[in-house]
Amino acid sequence: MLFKNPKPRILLILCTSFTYLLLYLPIIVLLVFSFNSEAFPSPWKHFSLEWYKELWHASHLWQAFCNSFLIALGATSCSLLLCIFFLFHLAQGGKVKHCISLYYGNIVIPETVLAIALLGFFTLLSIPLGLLTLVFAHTILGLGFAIPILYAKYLDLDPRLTEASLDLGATPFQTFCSITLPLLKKVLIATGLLIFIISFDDVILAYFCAGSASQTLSLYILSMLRTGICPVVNALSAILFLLSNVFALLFFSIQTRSKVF
Amino acid sequence: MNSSRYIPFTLGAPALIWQMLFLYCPLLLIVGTSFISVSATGLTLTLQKFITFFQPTYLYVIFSSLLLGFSNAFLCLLIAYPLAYFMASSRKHCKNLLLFLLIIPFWTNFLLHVYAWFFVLEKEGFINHLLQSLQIISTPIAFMNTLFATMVMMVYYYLPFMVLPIYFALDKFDVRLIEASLDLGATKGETFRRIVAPLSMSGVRAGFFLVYIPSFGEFVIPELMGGDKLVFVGSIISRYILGDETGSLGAAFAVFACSFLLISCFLFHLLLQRVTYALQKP
Amino acid sequence: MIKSLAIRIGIILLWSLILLSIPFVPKLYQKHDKTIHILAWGDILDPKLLKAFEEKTGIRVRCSYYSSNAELLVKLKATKGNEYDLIIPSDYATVMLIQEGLLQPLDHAKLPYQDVHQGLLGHAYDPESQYTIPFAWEVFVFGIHQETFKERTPSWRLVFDPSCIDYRIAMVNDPVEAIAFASFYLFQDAQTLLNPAKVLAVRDLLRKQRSVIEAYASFRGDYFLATGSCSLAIASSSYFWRTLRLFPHISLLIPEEGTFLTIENFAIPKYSKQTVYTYELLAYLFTQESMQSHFHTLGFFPSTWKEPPLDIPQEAAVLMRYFTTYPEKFHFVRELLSQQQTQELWIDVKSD
Repeated sequence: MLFKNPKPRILLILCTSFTYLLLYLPIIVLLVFSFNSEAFPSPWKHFSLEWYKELWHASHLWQAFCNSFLIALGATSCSLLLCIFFLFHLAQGGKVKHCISLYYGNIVIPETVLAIALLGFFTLLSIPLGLLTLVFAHTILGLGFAIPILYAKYLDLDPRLTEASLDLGATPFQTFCSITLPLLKKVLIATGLLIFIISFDDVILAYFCAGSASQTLSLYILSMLRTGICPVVNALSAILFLLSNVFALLFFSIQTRSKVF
Repeated sequence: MNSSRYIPFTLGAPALIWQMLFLYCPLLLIVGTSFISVSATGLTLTLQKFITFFQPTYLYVIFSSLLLGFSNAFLCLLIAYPLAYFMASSRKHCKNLLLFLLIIPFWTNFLLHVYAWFFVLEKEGFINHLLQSLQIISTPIAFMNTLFATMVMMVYYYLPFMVLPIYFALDKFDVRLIEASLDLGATKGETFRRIVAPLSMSGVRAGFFLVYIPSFGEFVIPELMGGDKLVFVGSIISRYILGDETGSLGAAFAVFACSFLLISCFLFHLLLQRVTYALQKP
Repeated sequence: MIKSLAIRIGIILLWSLILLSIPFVPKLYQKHDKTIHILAWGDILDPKLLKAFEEKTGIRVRCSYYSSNAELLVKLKATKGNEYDLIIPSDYATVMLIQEGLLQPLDHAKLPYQDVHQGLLGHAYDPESQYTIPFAWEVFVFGIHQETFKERTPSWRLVFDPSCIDYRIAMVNDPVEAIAFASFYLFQDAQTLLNPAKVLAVRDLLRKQRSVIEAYASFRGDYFLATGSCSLAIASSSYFWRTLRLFPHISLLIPEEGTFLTIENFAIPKYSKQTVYTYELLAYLFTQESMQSHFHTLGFFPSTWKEPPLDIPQEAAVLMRYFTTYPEKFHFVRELLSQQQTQELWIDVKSD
């Protein structure tokens, strides 16, 4: 763009490569050590799949993984559903322009504050803490992403399409389902993936609002980290890294039609 | 009167109700309880809790959290801007690839990244092994359990939050403005300072606050990477909240600390505006 | 106009009611038969054993965890204890629970008090063992690198006296424990509540210690020893056995002035109704196999071991014999200040 002469460009390229190297270095080291036969800090002994076998048998971990997955699924579907209904209300002429700014607070407020506020609220109303309360909490985060993004995208839609549909005799409901939603499909899926990942990764809200009977994956890993190194976590990271790559590829194939590579 | 005209409202209401019920009500609740003290005679309105917090102990902690947030945001900005600039100025395929590579680590659980950094920074870890095998040092350096390790992890985690807004701001940039500026006789440096930078400030501002505010409440990273040797706002809140007698104090402290955060955010907003104007001056 | 407003408000209220009552739904589906709810410290019960118990008797066991005694109190007070059938508090939490009247007396006929190590019974928190039975115990020890400490006397000076410390230390991260240790070192007394002058002395001692501290970590001391980040780690004995096995240059020291004991007890909340199943579970947990497996997986000394068995690490056997021979050297950690004062002192220590 701006810098056509090579010197600053090479500097930029070096900076970028170095940054990316640092971004990936820990993950690569972690993956390499997941195949070590000895636990860290013992040095490399020999290649072994021991930790993967132990991972397979760690039933507590898989329970926590299922919990995290279900919570993330619940939070994503809740957020998207609420958002779609909200857009429907908007499409029928609901006056919501000023309400959108209410949603900016969700991601701006420090998560710790949100977590303790929810904890106090649930305790006051004697609501039992558990997976459902965590879904509710994550939906707050999800709404903070879903509504601003989808509202902005909705405003960008061509109003003539919906007008034409209504003119041709479709009910508002039919118009919304056949015209508006398909146009928003890509953004909906992308936002859904984003909310899913944020909910799956979340530590702080789970730390305060999960109740003690339900364990999410993040809490499980946190408790393992607090007690030292456990090589099963290495094996787990390798698998999660693979899964997240698949997700990221999905996200990108939706976001952009052009080739990634 | 057609009852079906209330259907859109019925459907659209839960989103707002959810927001009110599960965000604003709880927040109002903790703000409210900070001003109330429960005693044998009932509830009384009091500023006692806030007065307790005006000790050097607590003020020091709030100040260090603000400093942590600011230094994190500043370091992220230093690293993110060149990166975002490079990404925005690349060709289309390269751009997508770089974006993809930036986001992949973000999709894995962040605790696993913390864990991964143990393997890199420990005395028996990757960096020490590398430096020793290259014979730059003879005994391993202790990187872990220091402020350095905490900052490394924080920058590592929050970098995408800074890069993406700046990248999107630079990506939408109209290249013709640069061409016009160069045609009118400005040097490359001047063009950057007076045209590109101010117009990317919206991205910088978004990124700054996306990094600054969450870093303020961070407590997991300083505990795991810094050996829990420093206290931050998040640590105090989490310790107090989970206690028996200190629960309401924790909520009050959260409100107290957040008011400082809000004031500092406002000041930074003004500062960024000033910087934008200053950049545009000849 | 008003009618439409009223309808809208009605819709809003209806939705609010629905949303607030959804979290209560799982409770309605809970089967109240044959399930025991346990509230325990994080690493105290072996999940495999509990699963074996479930398969053997058909009684389901659900575990909840707490990470600090303050949290335990909050949870029990909030539910008046009727959500849990069995709790595992440590010694100083038990005092508060008994005072608040949250525990029910135990049936001595159904529990093996005669098998329990004598040194674990009859302490001040429950002299007649009316409400508790000891399950496991552990001791605070110093994990060390052997070469650094070859010629040195094991003493609390190794942790608190700056003149003889030229290495890095991993200290406990619990303020109650740290204050108890400091108080014991300064005043040879860890039971009396502290007056303001003593509080300042404790704070200054802990502050001076900061310069040699590598990290504050209650559960990772052995990890810091293994990676060489520190040469001395203070932690509970149960965290050291796996590291001792893997790294022969690490050993244990017991300070000669005495150290601190933690006893994990079983107790039954007052309003629990499943006591029949609870006693069955307790009988199962007190068997030899269960106790043995608990030591080997989690590292606690079982309360029914009166003599160290042959297959445990050397250091563990030494520790057990030391406890049997010199029980007066073992003290309990207790809260010496109010919760708020404790936390404020801890924040003061860690700030500059």
